[in-house]
Amino acid sequence: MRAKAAKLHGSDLPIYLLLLPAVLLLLVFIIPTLNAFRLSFTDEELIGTGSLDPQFVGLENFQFMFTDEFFYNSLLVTLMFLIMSAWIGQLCIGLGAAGILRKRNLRMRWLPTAAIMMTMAVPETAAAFMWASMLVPNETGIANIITGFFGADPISWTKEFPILSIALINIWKGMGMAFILLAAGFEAIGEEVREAATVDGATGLKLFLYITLPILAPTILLFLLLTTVGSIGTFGFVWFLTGGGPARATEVISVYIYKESFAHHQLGYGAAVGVVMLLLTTILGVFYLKLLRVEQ
Amino acid sequence: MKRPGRRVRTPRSELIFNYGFAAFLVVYSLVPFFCLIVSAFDTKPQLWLTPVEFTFRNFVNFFTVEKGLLWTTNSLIYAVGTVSLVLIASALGGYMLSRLNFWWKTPFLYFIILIRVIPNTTYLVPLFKLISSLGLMDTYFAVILVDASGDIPIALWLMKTFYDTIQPELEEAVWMDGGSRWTSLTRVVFPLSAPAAAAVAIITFRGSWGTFLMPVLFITSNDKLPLGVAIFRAYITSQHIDYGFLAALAVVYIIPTIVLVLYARRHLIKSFNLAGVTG
Repeated sequence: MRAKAAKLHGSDLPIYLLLLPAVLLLLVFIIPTLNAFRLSFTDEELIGTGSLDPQFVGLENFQFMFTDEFFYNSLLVTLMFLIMSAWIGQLCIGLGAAGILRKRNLRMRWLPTAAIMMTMAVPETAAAFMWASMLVPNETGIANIITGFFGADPISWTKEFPILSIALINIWKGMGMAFILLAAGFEAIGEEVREAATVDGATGLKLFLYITLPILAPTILLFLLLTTVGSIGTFGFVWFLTGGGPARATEVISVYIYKESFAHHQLGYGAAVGVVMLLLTTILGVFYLKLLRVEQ
Repeated sequence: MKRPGRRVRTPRSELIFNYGFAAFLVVYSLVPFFCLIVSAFDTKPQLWLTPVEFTFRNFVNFFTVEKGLLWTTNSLIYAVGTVSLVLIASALGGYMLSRLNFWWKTPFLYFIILIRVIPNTTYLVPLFKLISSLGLMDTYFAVILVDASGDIPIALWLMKTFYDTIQPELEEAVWMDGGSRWTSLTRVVFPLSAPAAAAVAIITFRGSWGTFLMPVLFITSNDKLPLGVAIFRAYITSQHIDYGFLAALAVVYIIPTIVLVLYARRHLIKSFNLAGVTG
């Protein structure tokens, strides 16, 4: 009897071991992260005395952080960048695209579908180069040609609208993924539910607000979590395009950490800022899990 | 009274909104590509647009004068290596996460996503120390290992949610016939999950084809650089920047991932249902 039960569960394979390769891979990332935790309590520097003999300094890094106005500045910039690009931009465009591009009566819908998915195929270096050329600060830059069409004068986008400029790029980079995730959510709803609601007289906005949105809520929350995690780490194209300027207006948290760690050589302090970011996001993540439980 | 089953007419305002939104999507998505392609074929390109004189010279330069072929091969090595590692680890690990229940499953799944939020500028130095202590400096494997490590969380999520949809009865039938779990895994589960594996492969390829920071950190020989770093070097180091060449480089760079994503677009939408991950 016992042997048969064992057979039924297929216990001949040590199933826990199957996770081992994945855990080993994850360690490549987790070990340096734990190391960063340790660093955050030291005065380790990239060069000089602090690099030879780093000392344990307790909470000094954290105390300094909360008195540094540039830290608060980068927190605020990161938050605005997140709200504009991830929470509003990518979500609205992703939802709109996923909702509209599945309608059969929309002619030529392959074109916008292909267009939005092309954006997710562009690697970051290439995207930064493409957008640097888009946002050129004279009358030949495409962004200025477009606004000029509506009668506006050419401007320097990264100077006049610094956060908006980097947000526009992040939306462009992330909307393909947003579309795929949310479109998959729509697929899961199924046509029957929507048709039943349509027969009951729900149309357009009403159908969307009262039927689609509640069913889609878990997918939306999950998307928000993934895009938040992805956008907070944004470094490459911001550094390439603005370097955090003008006057720290686009100094998102990763740029701040980079400057502190590598330009000012304060590795311990840079690590401390990273740790605080992790704690803040964990709070956000727990809040998100609570919301998800309510939804289910 | 509307009769059941009768198609309800879409109101005119909604139609206008739909087409307007679709047009906006096309313009916003495609204009940067348009800029790039114009500069790649222009004889005297600037960072901004000028009237075009058509030429293929930039592309010919890329493959003959510069080390274009070598950089492309390198990018392929990094991408294929990363995809293989991620596929193997997530196909096995996802199965365990799907079939076993244990108290730390949900915390584990969220932990591996949330920990990625530490900006990578924080742990670059510890990572550098780890890789050099493993003796992997200036090897392809260093970049492949770190990139695979970054892609494994999402891959695990995708595989796990897909395995959840494969009915356990199918596997139990194999066991009843005397097969082991390994048999049921390789003969039933793996073949059925080819669509999810393909989605993981495409998403991972897209990421590792664009690898940038890790080769900058770990690769010192010029002959092992991928395309992305080559573009950056061309932009930063030269006094006189050849935008046409740079644009041609970028065109060659983005074509493989674009072809891949467009080819698999229906498939990607079908395989990306992650909402059941907490179950």
